[in-house]
Amino acid sequence: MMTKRTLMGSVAGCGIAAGLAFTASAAEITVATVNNGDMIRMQELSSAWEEETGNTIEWVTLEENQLRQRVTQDVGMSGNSFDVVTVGNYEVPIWGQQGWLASLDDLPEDYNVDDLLPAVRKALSVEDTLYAVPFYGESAMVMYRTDLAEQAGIEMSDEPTWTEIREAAAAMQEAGDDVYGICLRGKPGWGENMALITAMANSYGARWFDMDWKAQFDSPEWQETLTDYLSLMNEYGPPGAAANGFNENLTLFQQGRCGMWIDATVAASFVTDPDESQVADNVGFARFPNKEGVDNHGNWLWVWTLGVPSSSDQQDVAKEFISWATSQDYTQLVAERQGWRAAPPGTRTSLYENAEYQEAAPFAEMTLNSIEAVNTDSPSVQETPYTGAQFVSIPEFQGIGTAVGQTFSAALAGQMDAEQALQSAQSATQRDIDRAGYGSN
Amino acid sequence: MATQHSRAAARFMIAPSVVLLLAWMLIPLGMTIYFSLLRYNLLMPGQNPFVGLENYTYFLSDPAFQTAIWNTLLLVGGVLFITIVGGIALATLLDQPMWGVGLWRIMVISPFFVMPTVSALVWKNMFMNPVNGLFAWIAGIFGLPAYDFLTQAPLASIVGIVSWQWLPFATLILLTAMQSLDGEQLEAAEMDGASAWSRFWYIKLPHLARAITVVVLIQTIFLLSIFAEILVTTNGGPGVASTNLTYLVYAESLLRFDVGTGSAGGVIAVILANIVAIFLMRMIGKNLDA
Repeated sequence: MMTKRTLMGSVAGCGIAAGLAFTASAAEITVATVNNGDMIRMQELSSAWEEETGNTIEWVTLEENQLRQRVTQDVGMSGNSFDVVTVGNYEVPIWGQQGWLASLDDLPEDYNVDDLLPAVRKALSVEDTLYAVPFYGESAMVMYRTDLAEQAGIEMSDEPTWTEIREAAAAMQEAGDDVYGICLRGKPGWGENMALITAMANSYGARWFDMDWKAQFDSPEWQETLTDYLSLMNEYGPPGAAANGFNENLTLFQQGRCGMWIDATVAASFVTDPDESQVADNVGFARFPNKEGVDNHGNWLWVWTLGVPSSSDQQDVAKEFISWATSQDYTQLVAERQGWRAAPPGTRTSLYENAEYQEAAPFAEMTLNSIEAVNTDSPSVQETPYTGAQFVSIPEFQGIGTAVGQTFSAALAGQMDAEQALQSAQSATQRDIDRAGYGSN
Repeated sequence: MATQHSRAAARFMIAPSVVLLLAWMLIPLGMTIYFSLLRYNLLMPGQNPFVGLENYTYFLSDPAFQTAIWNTLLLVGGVLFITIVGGIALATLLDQPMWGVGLWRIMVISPFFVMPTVSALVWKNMFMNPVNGLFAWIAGIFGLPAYDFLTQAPLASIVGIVSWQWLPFATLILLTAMQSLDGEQLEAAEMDGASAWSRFWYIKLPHLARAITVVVLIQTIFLLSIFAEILVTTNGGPGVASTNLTYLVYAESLLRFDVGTGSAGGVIAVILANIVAIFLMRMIGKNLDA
């Protein structure tokens, strides 16, 4: 499904293409991207790149799940419809290894690869070869209403534990009218509720698989995680939470309906935007919670990246575009047009050293700390046979994660209890992982 | 009279179209069967080894499979029941002489022309939404808490939405049949002192039997493959509470990118649909002969 914006964009693109038809080197590239706010902004701003280089861009803008389906099918079957694809750090290492993405060793000198945050750069590389460049990156953290906390007479620490979160949720729900103590994701999907629940499980010391690839949903750590998640949401969450994902919770929080929200750091710039958020001046930030005695804070790392499929026959122009869209110049352009707070976060050290950015973005420090604390090699305090933070970095995870997410969402909707949900997650996961042949070799 | 020779020539001349038709049907089916015998996951390229019936056993032993079959039956059965009972009732009403009958008929038929995706969206957002929906507002008037239809009763809600769409179709067919009933028969019955109910039960309903069979047959074919309504409203959930066979095949092949298992699911769905079709044909054949 094309959005109207895309249609208009491509019409405009055709116009420019017609005008520049005589400049011999002009090429047209097709860029597939996701309809998140930052990418829509990139679409608007890239007319600057088109004017500068004479190339034109055809946009295919889709909702996240649709994008993933289209791009995976296209790249997997070498369909060659896209010259630039927007993919996450879940896909990049897997696709890089399979040779689906062109390696990016030959980026221009001034791209300044060393400026990329180490955790991000590592997540996008296979054996030190970069396979995609980061557009924006995120970890997860607690966002809370400072006014409500004050009203309730509680003090949030910078590094809260889950017990503190629970107490704060109760107190804030008590203190505010029409306020739910805490909003968390409940919508099924490996990138929706499972991102939060996996991160939460990591902070409880749980893991998806043991070293023999046995599913671990029957472990006490998972039991505690799910029981706490469910009771937290049932007691202090909004009704209908089983259908709430990132965007739904964002709206609730912006309307002042949530005391706390634990989610991606990238949300910080939206909830502190006075044009969109009714609570912009009263948002505090804290680190992703941990459980008492477990020294681990969730380990969430997500990066939206731009990559070039190896099947594309316009790789040079495509690489030129992605290095422009993720460069320091682009950040500068965003800052000039829309202010520093709108700059794509979480990819470059230089942004966090920029005094103007620190001034404009009260969440900058917490975001950087959260991302730097991520260690995707060891997501849990227990040993794991896999890497990845709020996901398990194996190709089968999309299917498994979504199936487990459905079960947990059904538990949140009250269709089964925690015990049943864990049992069914355990058997479904083990079934898939056995079939895929893990652990047997 | 055709000679042996001319018959052969005729066969020869229609051969291209027969071949084309066969290819049209057989190639897609053949490809599906072929893929269903491979371990073929889009996310894991490389070799796609032949694994025999592994995909089938995997698909059939999926705990979601039983639920999906059961849901498919409930969905088809529920919608058939509602549309036929409701269709007979509406047809009987519309058969009466009344003011503005043309307008009434158009209004009753119109839901059938709403696209499934659109109607699902309208029901989901304007009626069933627990915060902004019409039903929640009505419940609010009576001081009742809003009922979250798509979470609490997902399958029943979908049955409702689909019935709303198909009720006009049933009504239309049944009304046409009812109007073909000879008025003199009814008049005679009335003169003999038969009550309105007896006239309906012993004359009208038997007259409708064929029309009902047609409705059952056509609707079953379309209802077995309901998809858009589920995708738009519940995404097969919560859990697998509203997953039918079509949705399960979709999930397998497009959410997990497992072409092999997805194809196996497709073949199984074709087989099941054929079994249903055979039973229906028998039943209907008997009915239409009478």
